[in-house]
Amino acid sequence: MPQASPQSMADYLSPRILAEIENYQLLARVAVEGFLSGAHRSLHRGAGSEFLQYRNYVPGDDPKYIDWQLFARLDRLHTKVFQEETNMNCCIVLDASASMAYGGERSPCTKLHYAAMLAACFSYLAFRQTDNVGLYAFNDDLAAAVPPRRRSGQLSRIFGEIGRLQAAGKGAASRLMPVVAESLQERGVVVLLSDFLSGEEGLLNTLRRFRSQRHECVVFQILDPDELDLPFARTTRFVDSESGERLMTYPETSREEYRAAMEKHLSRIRDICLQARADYQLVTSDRALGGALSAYLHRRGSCGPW
Amino acid sequence: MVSFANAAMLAGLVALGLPLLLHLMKRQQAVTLVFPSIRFLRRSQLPQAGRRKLRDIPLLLLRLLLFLLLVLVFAQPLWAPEEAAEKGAPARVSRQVLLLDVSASMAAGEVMEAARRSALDALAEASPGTPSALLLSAGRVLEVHGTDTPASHIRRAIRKATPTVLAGEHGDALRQAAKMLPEGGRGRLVIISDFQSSDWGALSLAPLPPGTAVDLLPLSPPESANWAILSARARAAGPDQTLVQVRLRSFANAERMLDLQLVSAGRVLAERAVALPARSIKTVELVAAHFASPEGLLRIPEDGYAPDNQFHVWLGARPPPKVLLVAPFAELPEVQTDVFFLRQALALGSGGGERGYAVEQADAQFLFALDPAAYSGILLVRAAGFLNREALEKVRRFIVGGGCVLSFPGARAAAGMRGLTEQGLLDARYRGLAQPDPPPTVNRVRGKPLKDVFREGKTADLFLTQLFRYARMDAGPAAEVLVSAGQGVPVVLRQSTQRGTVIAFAVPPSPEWTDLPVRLSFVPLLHELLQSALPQQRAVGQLSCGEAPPPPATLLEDNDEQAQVPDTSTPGIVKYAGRPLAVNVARSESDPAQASLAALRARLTEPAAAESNPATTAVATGTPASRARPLWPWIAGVAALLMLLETALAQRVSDDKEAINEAKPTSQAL
Repeated sequence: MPQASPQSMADYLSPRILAEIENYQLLARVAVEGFLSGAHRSLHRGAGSEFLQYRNYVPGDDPKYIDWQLFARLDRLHTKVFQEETNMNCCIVLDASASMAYGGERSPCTKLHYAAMLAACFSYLAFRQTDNVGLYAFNDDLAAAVPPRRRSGQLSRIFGEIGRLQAAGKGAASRLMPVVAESLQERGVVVLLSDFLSGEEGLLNTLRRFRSQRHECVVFQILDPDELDLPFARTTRFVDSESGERLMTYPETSREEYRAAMEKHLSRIRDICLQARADYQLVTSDRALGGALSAYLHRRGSCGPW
Repeated sequence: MVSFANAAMLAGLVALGLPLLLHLMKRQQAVTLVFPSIRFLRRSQLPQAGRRKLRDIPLLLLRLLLFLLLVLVFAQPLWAPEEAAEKGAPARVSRQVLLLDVSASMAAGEVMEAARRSALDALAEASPGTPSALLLSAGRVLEVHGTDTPASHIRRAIRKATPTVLAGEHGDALRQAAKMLPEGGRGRLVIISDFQSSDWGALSLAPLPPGTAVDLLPLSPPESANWAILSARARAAGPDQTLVQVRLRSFANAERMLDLQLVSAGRVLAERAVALPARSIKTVELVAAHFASPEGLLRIPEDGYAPDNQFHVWLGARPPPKVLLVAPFAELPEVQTDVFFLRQALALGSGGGERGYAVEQADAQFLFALDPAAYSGILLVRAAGFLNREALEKVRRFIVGGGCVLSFPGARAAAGMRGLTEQGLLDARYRGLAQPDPPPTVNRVRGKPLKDVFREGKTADLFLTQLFRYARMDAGPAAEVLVSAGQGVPVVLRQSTQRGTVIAFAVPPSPEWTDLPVRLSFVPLLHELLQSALPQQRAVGQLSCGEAPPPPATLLEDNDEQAQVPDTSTPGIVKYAGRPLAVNVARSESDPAQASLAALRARLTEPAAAESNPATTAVATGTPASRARPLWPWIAGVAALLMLLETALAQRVSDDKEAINEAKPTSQAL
């Protein structure tokens, strides 16, 4: 349980508080329910063909679902809620390579832990929306493979795999993504959670592969704040977490150059996602999860039946 | 001129560079960090300007200064105005005095020969024409050759100098030398000696003229070992037999078998082989019989230091200890009765071959004019109440010096008790005279000295003693009740004061007071008490060569022997006032332990300052301690102020660094 009592709904999405929750199922429920209640009251239940119920209109609801006849009678806006007939697939792909093990002083958790929290939240959210949810994690090899299903125990299985993940080895996304793509039979949403520090040349092919199978892709690039601004003051001997290479540098003199190189890389990733018509979101491991959840729901909500 | 009392602490300055080195090393030392990817990093080093430039320079300099001040505080700097006198450069010496030690210890091995060479070399070091004086010292100043003595005469005197049998006591020689040295400085005192601690350690000195250079030329005794006869005492062991107790000491590092002989009139009376362990003292006994001459000589084989291999000892009968009876108004019948009983009891021997005591008598009012040192004991027969303050003070000094006083009460018992109590000699409270009916009987006796009264036939006699009249005394914690009667009535009290003893009776030896004088136990009781308290060595005098014998008998005696003081300059047996005196070379000369030359030099240059604070005496630098001012309190005060400044500056630097860290740009989602 969180050590500090959240003071507001936004606190439920704070990684500092969520990082205290060891149980991912509980974590996901706390974060998602907190996200969906309060300011995040947009209830995306999809647009199925069977009418389910009315509810009061809230700002942000799609106007095409407003029942104007009811408005004429009651002089109040109401939104129609439809029941899903066709369940979506939600596949979460999580990078568990060694570079995800980093956690700076400004972050309450490592990048992997942050990605794991996001994956848990997405899983819970998808399952709540009666989607089929699955999880794939990779480093040197597939570290976890839970094909999307909707069956009893699916969520627990996913949370269990998330809890067993350890950041180690090099990321072999280029080799493993085709395997993941093969396993996804039906169209859905593919959520990629990684730092994308390398292998950007394979990322475009991966995204195109998923798009060719008519999947919607949401890319979350997760970085630690230290990776963006290199705040270190002393002469530092950096050791690459995946390759083990060493490099001595004095950050005071190399910071600007680093930032420029990082900015260039981020732009490259962004461009690749844009090119592959995938949603891209850069998140840092010290930021609240609300933005990421909103981005997922927005992409999920745009997935209509075909 | 600045000097340092603990100059060795300045070695700490070499550590001054340590903080600087650590500061530079810290700057160059890199931290290791496992980072997700080094792909976007480029190798770089400290900027050239930054590498040479030290951060926090003011703070670093401040800390270096603090460290420097701390080292100076421990080094104890002294500041003294410039002195006109030089530090004893021989070239500028205007006058020099050579003090040559010729005490008995200089006879060890080749020490005296080395002393002559050193003295001649010291004489030659002076510039030609520099007036020089020579003093030969041992016990007293033996020879004086003033500064007007030609150098050739001085050299001759040095070559002729030989060790004496006298113990070293060089205070007079130093005072003489101080008078011969120039007052305005530029004098030089050279002391050639083995600097035995027994001779130089506790010497009372007069200061030398300021600016006098002092050179101490020590001479080490030979490596050969030394064994000594420390002392000997003879006493009668039966008819025609004398037991001699001998104390031997080894200064050597190895055990040795010594052949100890007792010789008299050229004949060996007794002989014994003694195994003497290394660095030890051992007491052995020899029995001598049928000797023609009572002058004995103990001897062991000669070694590196011969004067202590012989010891003269008196084998003859020891003269009886002399005691003084002090009584007021001797013509009074009661006084005469007391004196009669005491004289009879004291004249009898106590057995074991020992004779009784030699008794002299004096009136109480003349005690102040006597010298009690000639007596072993003083018996105040009804006299304590008649002693004036001066006489009581004399009695006190007698007791403190080791004498024994027996006090018997009389009509003025209260005054007598008060006098002894005020002098701190007897811890008892007088409560008046008692005359109980029926009279109490002695019923309790304690204490080792009274063991003889428990011999068969005498024990019951003491316990029949009655007290018809007695002085009531309440004994304090310091007084010991040896005999009591009735309901715990103290009869005999004893109290030790420093080296002496006071024995107070509640009754005089008078039949009107008690039947003790007519009891068989009276004589052994009196002898036991005296034997336990009288110092034994007063029977036969023991003197060192050159030591003056103690003053002779009282003014009341007119003895021709007392007029001539014997010569004690050589070892042997001499007679003085009817008493034999054994004269031997002082055994303090046998101990080769050397006095501290640094302490001696400090005391010679400034005795008063050296006694109060030897740590600040500028022995090493020669600066007179009385004019040197310690600077360390000022330096410590400055250091304390700088420490406050350092704390404030360090806090400011820390705050600045925190502000810099907070101002660093934070990450933002792009």
